[in-house]
Amino acid sequence: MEHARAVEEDIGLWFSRFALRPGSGRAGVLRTQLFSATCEAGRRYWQWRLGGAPVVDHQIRRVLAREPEEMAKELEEKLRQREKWEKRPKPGKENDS
Amino acid sequence: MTGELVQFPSRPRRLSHEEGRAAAACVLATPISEREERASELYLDEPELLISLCELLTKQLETSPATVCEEAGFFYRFVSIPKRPIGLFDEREYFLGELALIAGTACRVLFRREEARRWFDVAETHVVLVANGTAHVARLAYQKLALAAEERRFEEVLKLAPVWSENFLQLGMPEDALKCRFLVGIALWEMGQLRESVEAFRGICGDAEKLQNVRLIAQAANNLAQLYAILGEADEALTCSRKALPLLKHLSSRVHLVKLQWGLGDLLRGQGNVAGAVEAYRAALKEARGRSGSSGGVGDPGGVADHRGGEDGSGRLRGPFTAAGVTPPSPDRPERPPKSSRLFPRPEVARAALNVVHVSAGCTEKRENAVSQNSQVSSRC
Repeated sequence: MEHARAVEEDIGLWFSRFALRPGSGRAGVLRTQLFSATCEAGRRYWQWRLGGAPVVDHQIRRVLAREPEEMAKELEEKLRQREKWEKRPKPGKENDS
Repeated sequence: MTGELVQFPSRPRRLSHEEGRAAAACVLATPISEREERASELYLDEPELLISLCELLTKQLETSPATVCEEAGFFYRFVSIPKRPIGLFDEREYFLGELALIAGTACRVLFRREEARRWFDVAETHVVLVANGTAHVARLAYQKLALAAEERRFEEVLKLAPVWSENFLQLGMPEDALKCRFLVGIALWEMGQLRESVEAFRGICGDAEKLQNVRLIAQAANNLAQLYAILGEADEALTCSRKALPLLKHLSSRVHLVKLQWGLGDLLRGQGNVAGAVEAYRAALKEARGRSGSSGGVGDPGGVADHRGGEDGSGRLRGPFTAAGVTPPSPDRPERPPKSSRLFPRPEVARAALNVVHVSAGCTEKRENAVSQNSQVSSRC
């Protein structure tokens, strides 16, 4: 838990500075890069934690085998689909009116 | 397993953003020769300082390019050698790329074009590794286009600038898109397509108003004033001058203000408004004197030491635009260099013009005062 907090803090600090960079102002850019940084931080954390030892947990092994960028895109796409789903017109409301 | 005893190597924040800003200002006030040995005390490797520093240097690019070039070069070397672990994730590469871009832009402003090109190449090696690298590659492309405009490669500018403008819009960077259109307007102007240039700047002015970007509105209106003056459309030129004037004052953009006020004086004189012309010439001279008195160092709004004169500090003559005593035509200073000296009050021109005005107004005393004031400007330039 303590480690998770430290990683989260790192991401927060990086992101607060990333938002100040020229060309970073767009919401879409900020979200994409936040996902990317989070995935990258997760990978670095596990690399540090394992210290070169073989990965036993198959879920972690599967995640570490993938590129952080690729995972970030997948997560973002999932979020986008969820937002789209939540914004869809509700059939019940149409009947009410 | 006792792995929990090992502390995760996160980097605790040493400075808040506000503290970083203050530290950046403090470093800039410290002589470069003293910085390396006081690196730890000055927090030179602190990302909060470096991000504020990049912002500060970017703001001073136009007014003090020589100082900015020196500072960006120093910090680039500090971050790169030895390979210091700066910031988190991509931050080291970002700072190296940004500092190289700033140094290159400063060199371009100083007409050190080969050096500028080398810095841009260096910047490119870093920004490709940075998060949101596309935006930084585009910013570099803009600087290279501005360099092309200064080297009078106008065909290239007319071909590429509209494409980059579209790209910037897609990247959500509308102000950079407008800056590319400035290059188009300037290229058209330089190629003698004045009507097309007027249309380009009118479009830019309108879009800058939508973005509420005072700086771009002022510069577009200033360029329009000069274009209309060349086309002999005095009323339009006056309207644009009057639009640009308060904005340039607000921005403390003295170089542009002097030229605008002088041009305004010419226009009023052409219309027979002698009193108005004298007032405008006097205002221009007042600004020019204020500019002459400034130091050109960091925080200097006039930046005389960086812009004035025909040498680049190494004894070599600068490019043709400097020889005319004006700034080159880039959207960082998106003002077209006038072919004649009429928009820039060189002392001898100023003296002659004021003589004509005062003689035509029949006031000998004012003429003598004018000559005396111009001598003061002359001695300072």
